[in-house]
Amino acid sequence: MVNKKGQIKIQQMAFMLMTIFILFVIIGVIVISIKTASLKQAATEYAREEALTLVSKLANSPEFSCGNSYGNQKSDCVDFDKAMALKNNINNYKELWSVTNIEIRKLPNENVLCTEENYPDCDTLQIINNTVSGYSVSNFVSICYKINDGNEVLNKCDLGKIIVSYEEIE
Amino acid sequence: MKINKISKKAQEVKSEISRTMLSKKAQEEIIGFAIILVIIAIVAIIFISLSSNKSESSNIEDYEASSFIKAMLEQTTSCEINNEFSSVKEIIFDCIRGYTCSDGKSACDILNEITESSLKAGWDVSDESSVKGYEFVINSKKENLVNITKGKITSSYKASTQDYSVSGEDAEIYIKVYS
Repeated sequence: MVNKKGQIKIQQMAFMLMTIFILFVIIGVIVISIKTASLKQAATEYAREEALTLVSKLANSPEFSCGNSYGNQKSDCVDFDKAMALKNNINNYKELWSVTNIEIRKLPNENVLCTEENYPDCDTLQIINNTVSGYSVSNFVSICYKINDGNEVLNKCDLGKIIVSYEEIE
Repeated sequence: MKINKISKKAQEVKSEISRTMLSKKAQEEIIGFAIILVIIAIVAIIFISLSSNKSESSNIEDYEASSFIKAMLEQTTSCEINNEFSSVKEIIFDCIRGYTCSDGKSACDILNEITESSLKAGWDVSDESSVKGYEFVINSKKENLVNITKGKITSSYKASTQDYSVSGEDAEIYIKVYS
């Protein structure tokens, strides 16, 4: 009788230990999955921060900035003519920015893609265009370019946005 | 004989008490275990809900309001004065001085038109969008030149103010974008 009672007690203890072990395993799995998700989120957030820094500085970089070409020195101004030339030679510059897309859009936008044929009567210039899923960050810029008005060349500036996209870490 | 009977009865009562005691003890253990499970479940639920309810940051970035003003001011308008098309920045001071464009429209009218169209193109105001509303003001020393408000006013916003001065005339441009 005493022996049987002892066995039951040992059984009870074994079940209890097993249950607690399973419980901790479940909790561990949940914690690890949350940690992994937050790690991916942190990596995506890092890519976003990088894109944010880039988008806020890109318009003032030598490859895009207006400089003194349109009268006085302008900040946050994209030289559309320069950007168009850059698009035609993008293979030499692709490694310079570690982002998936760089796009310049005039506002309001009707999504008329810029080509050599329709330039500057277009409103979207895709400088780097990789088809990958991700997020975008943007910044307002003034888009300046030269237009030929009969016998004189005029400066024209429009409101626009520069959009930088980065890849989502999966 | 009677003593034997009493002793048997006493033993039965004793074993009954011990059975009841054992069963009660088992019940208490089960209840204790259930309580521990419930506490762990509550802690897990609180932890999961806290980690998933991280406050979402506003989708409007700090620099956007100020870069909008800068970019908007550099736009070329349709207002031609002295054979040159004025920028928005120039037209603000043309408006303060009461100038008229070559097509007969007042500089102030053109300023209001271009400001409204730029705001409409730049900020997508809707309940689904991260931008819930905006307030845009251009003031000179003496008067209010432009005052455009659209959408909802909320407690969360990004704002920027920029001051310009040309030949003794001052202008203040102010934007508040609500998210």
